[in-house]
Amino acid sequence: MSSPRIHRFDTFEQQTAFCARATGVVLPRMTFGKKAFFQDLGAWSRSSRGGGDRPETACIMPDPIQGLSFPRALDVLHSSLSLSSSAVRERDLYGLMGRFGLDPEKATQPIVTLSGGEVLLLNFAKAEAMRPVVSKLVACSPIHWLNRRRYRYWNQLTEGYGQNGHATEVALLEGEPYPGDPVTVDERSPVRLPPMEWLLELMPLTVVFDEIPFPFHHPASRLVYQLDKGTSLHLASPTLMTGDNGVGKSIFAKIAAGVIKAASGRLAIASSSGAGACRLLFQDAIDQIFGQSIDGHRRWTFLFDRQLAARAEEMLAAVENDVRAALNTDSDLLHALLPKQRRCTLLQAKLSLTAERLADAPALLILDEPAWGLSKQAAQAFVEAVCRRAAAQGTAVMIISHQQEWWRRLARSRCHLLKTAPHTITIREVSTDAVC
Amino acid sequence: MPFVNLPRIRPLWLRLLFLLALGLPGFTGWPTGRLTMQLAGCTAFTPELAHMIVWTGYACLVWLVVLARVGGNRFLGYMGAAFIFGLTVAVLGALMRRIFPILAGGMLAEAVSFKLLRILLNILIFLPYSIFFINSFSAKNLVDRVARMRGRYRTLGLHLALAFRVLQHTGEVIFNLFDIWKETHPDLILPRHRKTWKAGRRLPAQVIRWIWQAIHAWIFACIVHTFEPIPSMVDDIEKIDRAQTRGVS
Repeated sequence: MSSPRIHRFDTFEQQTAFCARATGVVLPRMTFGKKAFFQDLGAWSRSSRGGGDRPETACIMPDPIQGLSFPRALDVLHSSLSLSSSAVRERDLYGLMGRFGLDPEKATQPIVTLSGGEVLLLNFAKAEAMRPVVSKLVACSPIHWLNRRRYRYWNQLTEGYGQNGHATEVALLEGEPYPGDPVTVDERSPVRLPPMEWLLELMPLTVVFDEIPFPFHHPASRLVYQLDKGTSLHLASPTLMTGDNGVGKSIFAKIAAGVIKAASGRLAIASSSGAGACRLLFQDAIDQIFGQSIDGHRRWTFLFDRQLAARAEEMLAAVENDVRAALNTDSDLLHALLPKQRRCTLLQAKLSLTAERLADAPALLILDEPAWGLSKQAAQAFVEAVCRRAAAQGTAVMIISHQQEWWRRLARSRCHLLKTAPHTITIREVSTDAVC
Repeated sequence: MPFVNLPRIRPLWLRLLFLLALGLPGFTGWPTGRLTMQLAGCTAFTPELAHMIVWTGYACLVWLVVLARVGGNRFLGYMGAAFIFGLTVAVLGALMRRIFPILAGGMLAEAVSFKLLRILLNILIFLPYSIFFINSFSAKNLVDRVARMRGRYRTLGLHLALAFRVLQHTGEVIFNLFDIWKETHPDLILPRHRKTWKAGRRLPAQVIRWIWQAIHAWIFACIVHTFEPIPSMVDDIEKIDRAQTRGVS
């Protein structure tokens, strides 16, 4: 039985390049602007000619949703199972989903609306379905979006590949956890930040997801968010938000940012910079660049507000300098920060998007999985720099993450989301060290 | 009614036939052209008014079919997109013809207005119809069927199936981009940051610049996000293709 071979990279760009070499699937770069995007696509189309002699490979891409070519979990799994069997039964599909911790109702849910963790689990199920016809598995950051107790699904997948004598290559970013790695506790003293409190007021909040009758039927569902005790929480910023995969963390963040409207209830946020406004850095922040270059997007956002544009530039320069100073100890990690004349890395995209949001001086800034696509050191430097600047202007910060240990020195409070009834999510304040 | 559960209409060619029949006036101009002529010939209606009456009637039929199948919420989404797109094209068309009269090609102002109205109505009919058409077929089933084919049209069929899936993916991308847009610009049609819009006389120019930039951003975002997963989709389709060539047990 062969065990997975681990490769570690300093930057997302290096990890993506490795994935392209190992699988032949060359995804165009998204943060380098339109020209580079189309050049990459052209280069791929010239070089891609039916796979050649490359062995069949199952792949979990750096952005796992990119590996799912069909709109529903059922389609993805059916097409993968039918690579090795001409008679795929519905119960095989549901059985496979169940083995990887996916509820049956996820089968017909559009993939674009699944949570990050569920997308990863579906990738595992797809890779398992492909096992009889492939000879290798290449996986990029396969557990980054997973709750610790779901690591077993990854172990289950790799064991299956190992038993078949298939190779498994895992591309991780520096510092990223991997099942079986010894847990190292960061003994350094907490990051020094000015003390800051913010208020989360929540009257039971109901979100309704309508029935989807077309093209495939998916039943309606609803979620109710409530606080564990009372209707308000006084939290110290930065606040860490944790919870199981698919519990509804990202949905909560989208409600707070006004992207999803609640059907009933009330959510209010107040910090020392004022009440109300909340901005959000999405889990797949790369999409927030909206197909533009990093600098181009920032210029466009502030096209009609020169004052804020200047403020965003100052903010970006400041956080970029902070991150550069923090990463200076390791010249390899500095590859994630190119000179400002040609900003194009994922880290720089995240820095720019965050600076745009901070320039707005919102009451709360939510960073949804800010460490995705970053090495541990780069992620910590980035979030610490953002928290420091945010605190200076009275903006509270909430970090949604599965890597609780990474934020031990930074988080001053923690909220845990727990499913307490089939459609009810309870938000509970817990100790920053608590294991949930 | 057959359209109530369209994806269940079997065989596939019957579903295709039904959808093509529904879109027939768009492809051939028949029978709407004939009806327009009859209406204009036997009543006091002008040809333009007769055209609008017939095409509005046809629009109602298409909307009814789409509404019955996709449900109220999704139908409103389709219509919202069609209205935004249609109005943008019509308003920009009118502006361009005012600024550059040569574009009107000597047409009277009334004729230009009628032409723009026709364009608007066409977009309101055929944008929801096109999305409905594309989503009425499963790309996965199409790929599976084509991969099982033998003969010289197999490769062409696989390319077409891929193109079809990419078209479907555009719809998925738009919903995702809409969330991003809403976070960035909560007023949806106005920029979040617009302090310099108080500048008085420069306001119309700034509004036009904003609309232009927004359209540009949306078009490129849709293209970039739709094309991004193509290499991965191709890889999956090639795997299906190779598996069928090898022969699946």
